[in-house]
Formats: sequence, structure tokens, C-alpha cells
Amino acid sequence: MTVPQPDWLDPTPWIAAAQRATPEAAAGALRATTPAEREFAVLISPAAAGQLEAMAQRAQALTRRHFGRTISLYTPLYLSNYCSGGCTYCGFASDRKAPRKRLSFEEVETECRAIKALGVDEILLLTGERTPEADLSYLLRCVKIAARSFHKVTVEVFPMPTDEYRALVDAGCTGLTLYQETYDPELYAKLHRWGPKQDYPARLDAPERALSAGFRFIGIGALLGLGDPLYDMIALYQHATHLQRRHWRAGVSVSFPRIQPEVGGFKPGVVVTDHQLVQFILAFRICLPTVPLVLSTREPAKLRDGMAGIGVNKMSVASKTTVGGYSEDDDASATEQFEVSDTRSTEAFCQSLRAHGLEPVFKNWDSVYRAETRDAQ
Amino acid sequence: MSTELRIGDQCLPSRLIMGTGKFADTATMIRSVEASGTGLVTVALRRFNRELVEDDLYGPLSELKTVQLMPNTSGAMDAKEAVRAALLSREISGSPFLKLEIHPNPHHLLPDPIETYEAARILVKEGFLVMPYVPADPVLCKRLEDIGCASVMPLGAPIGTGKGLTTQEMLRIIIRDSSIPVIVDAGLRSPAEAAAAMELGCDAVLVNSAVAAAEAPERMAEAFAMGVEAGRMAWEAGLMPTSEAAIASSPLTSFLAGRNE
Amino acid sequence: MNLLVNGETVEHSGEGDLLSLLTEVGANPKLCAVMVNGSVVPRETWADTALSENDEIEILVFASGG
Repeated sequence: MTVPQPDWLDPTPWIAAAQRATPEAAAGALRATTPAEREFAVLISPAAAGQLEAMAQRAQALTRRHFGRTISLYTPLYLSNYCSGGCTYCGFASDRKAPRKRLSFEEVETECRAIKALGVDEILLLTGERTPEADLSYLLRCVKIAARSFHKVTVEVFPMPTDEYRALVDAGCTGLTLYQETYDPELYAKLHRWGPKQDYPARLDAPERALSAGFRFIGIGALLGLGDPLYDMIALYQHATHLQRRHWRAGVSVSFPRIQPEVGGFKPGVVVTDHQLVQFILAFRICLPTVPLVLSTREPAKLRDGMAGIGVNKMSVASKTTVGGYSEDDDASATEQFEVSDTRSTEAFCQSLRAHGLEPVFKNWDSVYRAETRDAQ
Repeated sequence: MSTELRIGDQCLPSRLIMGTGKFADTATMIRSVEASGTGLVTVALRRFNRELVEDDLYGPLSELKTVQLMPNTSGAMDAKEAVRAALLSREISGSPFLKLEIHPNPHHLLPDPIETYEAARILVKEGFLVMPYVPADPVLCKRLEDIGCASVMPLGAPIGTGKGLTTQEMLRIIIRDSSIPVIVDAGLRSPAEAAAAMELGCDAVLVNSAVAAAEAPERMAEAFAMGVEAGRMAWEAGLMPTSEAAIASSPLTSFLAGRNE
Repeated sequence: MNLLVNGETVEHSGEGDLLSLLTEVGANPKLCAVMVNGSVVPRETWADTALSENDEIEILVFASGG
């Protein structure tokens, strides 16, 4: 059974280009005035691996040109880890024993207050696949609560039809984050054992549905470590350029989640090294200079500090991947989706950024022009 | 040969589009149009005047079997007038092509983006292949694409100035983001500039003043044809990258040292 | 009847339809387009378009332009 791919998604010819690439071609790609798909394929290839420093220099210049020396910050809030899905790589799959928790609306308010007190102005709300405990109406209410305190509310939740995305927009949502996990349809089928997430095309098209419904910002990504990283990075590049061309009013950002061994014992299919991760991020920065690139606290402090300002310009801060966790002192680590590597507080992280000549930015978007939120306030 | 130019459902044999204005006489214009190898020329409307009947150009133009007419709405001051001009033009030639040109200021002749957008909206519904002449504004070009224009025609420089691709950086963005043909119009002075526009990736160029005002317009038309062809072939062949030298500073990737490869 | 044609007053002594007027002023029907009182009149209806006193008619032809 083959899953039909849309016209714009065809990594195969570029993988061949990447495999044929030479270090000379990589050096040439690095010098291109308007790098495009060909240059991207060469820059992510093993042939370019020895030119990271040169790539970093170019990436830094481009990051400074388009983003100045600023780093945008956001904080994730896991609303619920109930999940009906069957992802082999996730400790929250419905057949796994992880303790389940869902924030009550009072708890959502408390968590939002605690996060707001950190100085953060952009919140990311997460749930698993749709469940009766965490369905659309639950999500809408949480979004409304968050929209009262935060100017930017992004959700990373189950894909849904356009009218449901529209309801989220009306409730105050400005952004959607949705990772395809892997763009390889055969691998995707193997990794998603049951549930709605098995529907590859529905997930692939979800960002466009969200954009038609009025979302302003879309974050996409592929989970590094699942499949062939060259395939997924090229597909991710194609996805980003397609969204930019088709939805020219939208802001598209790219994230680089890298699989961690999960509690249930999932071993990454492919090991993506730090070098490779850095190379991929730099290639994206060079070839898509205006697209924000995001690195979360899944990655350790040294890597985050190193990449800040030379490609990465958006990061999560003071993250907890437990359900809630910002306002409680008790150990909620039993509900952690992944282990946070960079555990620095907001102050410590901002201090480090400033020491590197970078300015942390908590807010660069004001929702005051949106009539709905003004009335709610 | 480079690849064919498609606009809407029409195929054109050349990526050079010619304007017919400012020539010394109709005969020179016709010879220049022929020498250019173009498949599309612009014409304007004027009031019939029985005294000027020897200036009839529709007759001789329609004898050039490979050349289609693209009436322009030049002279219209607003959307209403442009729509009227378009409908009148279609009465005469039946051509689906329509160059939408609304420039209220007679000194700089720069296009009015608001009236142009309004007129385009109406004329697309009327079934024209609307080709709007516009400032090199990437957002305006996407909006015109959204409402169904067959192409966009951003200017290189104000009409008749011959200042070349002053809008080059905007043209790069427009070309990168457009799903419809991008045709650079106005301001080109030399075949080298036409080639440069094609090398940026645009789909065609429109040239008028540079040919009409040349010492030998026919030869200049031929030169422009070669320039457009060369530029397009170069773009299709994949130009060698220019140098974007990085400024050396202290190493940026030393944080990777010691981390597991 | 008196008509305003291309901005000038003209006395039309023909049949009173648009096609006759064009013939009278020497315009080649194949090469022009016509507006009457601001509205474009399709070619196929010219013979049947009756003119009235003081109608404003614009007869347009293609000219050179960029």
C-alpha cells in the first residue's frame, strides 16, 4: 500500500544529489548567493561535514542579518498526557504504563500564572492524541485561559479538521506546532501502531488546514533518529518552502527535535550525532535565512549555547515536560515525556545568552489588535 | 533553445514582449517587431481620427501571423476607465491578453497599485488574461496572483528612464515566491539588462523605449531577442555561484569538540 | 440629428444607427470599438443600435503604445 505523496514532496532526487556531493560542491554551495534545494541537499550531505566552521560563519552572518542578535523565548505547558495513540517511540502511548494526568482548569490558571511570573510571553500548550479527557472542548477552554495571559499561544496537539482549527483561532490561538515525525510513509506506518495518527496525509495537510483557518504561525519538524535523516531533512525543507509559497502571509518555523531513548525502551533507528544536528541546522539557516529555527531543552546547555545566534534564534526556557509542574514543588517527574537536558532557570539561561552577546526576547507580538482577546480582558 | 513561455492557456514563442510606442513611424515599428521575433506586442487605444488614418497599425500588425496583440489600458486614470478600455480593446481584437496599466501621474508614469488591484479583480472575472503593470512589490504581486491574474509585470525602473534593474532585490523576492509568470516591464535600456533580468529567473521581459529610441531600432530589437534568449538559457543551465565570502572570526563550532561524534 | 462624436459636434444625416454613423465619419468597422453614452456597444449590435439626439459617442482604434 503506497501513500500518495503531494507534488511538492519528493526527496528522492535530492538524496541522490546529496550522496553524489563532493566537498568542492559543498564549498560552492556555501558561496551561492541564493541557495536553493540543490545547495541544501549538498550542505546536509556527508561531503559537507568537514566544513561546519565555514557553514557556521555564514549562518551567523545570516542570523544576525535577519534576526539581529535576539533569541525568542517560549515555555511549554503539558496540559495532559492522556493519549489514544500507539507511537512506538513515545512513553505515553496508550499501551504504556506511564501515570496519566490532566490539568484541571484551575490548575491551568495556576500554571499559567507561574509561567508568566518567569517573564515568558509565549506559551506552547501540548496534549497527546485526542482522548475524551483531552478533547477539543477541553483544549479550547485551556487556550482561552492562556490567551488572557500570553500574547502568543501555540498548540502542539492532535491534527483536526479546518472548522476545529478555526475554533482554536477564535479562542485566541496564534500558532500551531506539528511534527510529521518522519516524512517516509513506510516507516511512518511502522511507527504508528494504531489510532488517527496512522493517517499520514491528514497529518501532512494539517498545517495548511490550520493556516486556512487563520493560524498565523506554523512550526514543523521531523523527529531526528527515527529514519534516514537526509530523507527527512530534505522533505522538511520541501515542506517549509511549500508552506511559505502557498501561504505567503504565514510565519513558518522549523524545529529540530531529536529522539531520546524513551522510558519504554525504544531505541532510535538511526543515531543522529551532535555534528549532524548542527550541520542540519546550519544548512537550514543558510538556505532559508528568514525562517526561525527552534531548539528545545531536549538538547543540553552546551549545544544550545553553541547554536544560539549561529542558526538557532528561538528556544524554550525553564521547560518542564511533566504535566504542569511549574507551580508545584512535588516531584512530578513520573509524568515526564522526555528528560529535559537543559534545566537552567530563566535567569541563568538569559545570563548565558547575554554573555554570548545575545538578547533574550520574551515578546515581539502583541495581541491587542485582536478584538476577541481585548473583549476577554 | 530555451523552454517555451506559457501565460494562462497561451504559449508564446519568445520571452521578449515588445511595446509599439515611441517609434518614428509605423513601418519602423513593424520591422522592429518582426526583427525581435516576439509573439506578443502591446497596443494602446486612441480616439479615431480620420485625418490620421495612415497611422493605422492594427492592419499591418494583424498581418504578422505569429504576433498576438496585448492591448494596454494606458491613459486610464482609475479602475473604471481601465475596465472600459479593456472591454473596448477586446471588441476590436478579441485578444484575451490585457496589459493593465494605470498611471495617474504623467511625469513619472508609475502605476497605481490600488486602482490596478480593483481593476484586476473585475477583469479577471471578465475572462481576460490580466497582466498587471505594478511596482516591484512582493506583497502586491502575491495579492494579484491570489485573485487570478495571469502574470505580474513588476517594473525595473520608471518608464522611459532606461535605468535598468533598480528593483533587483524586490524582483528576486517576487520571482522566488510567485507561482505565475513574472515579466519585468519598464526601465530596461540594454540587451545586457534584459539578460540580467532573465538570469534572475524572470519569465519574460517587456521592452519598448530601448528599441524605439535606439539609433537603429530593428537591429536593437534583434539584439534584445538574443539577450533575452541568452539570459534564459543561462538561468536554465544553472549559473555558477558568486562568492559570498564569510568574515573570519573566532571559531564558532568549538563547542562540538569533545562531544561524541 | 446632432451627436457628440469623439468630443466634437456632428450632424448625422444617415439612418440613425451606429453602423451608418461609422460609415459617415469614415471609420473602418473592422478596426474600431465604440462607446455610446459611456457604455461599450458590441460590434454585432451596431446596425441595430438606434441613436438619439445629443448622444455621446466615442470611436476608438488601436494606436502605438508600450
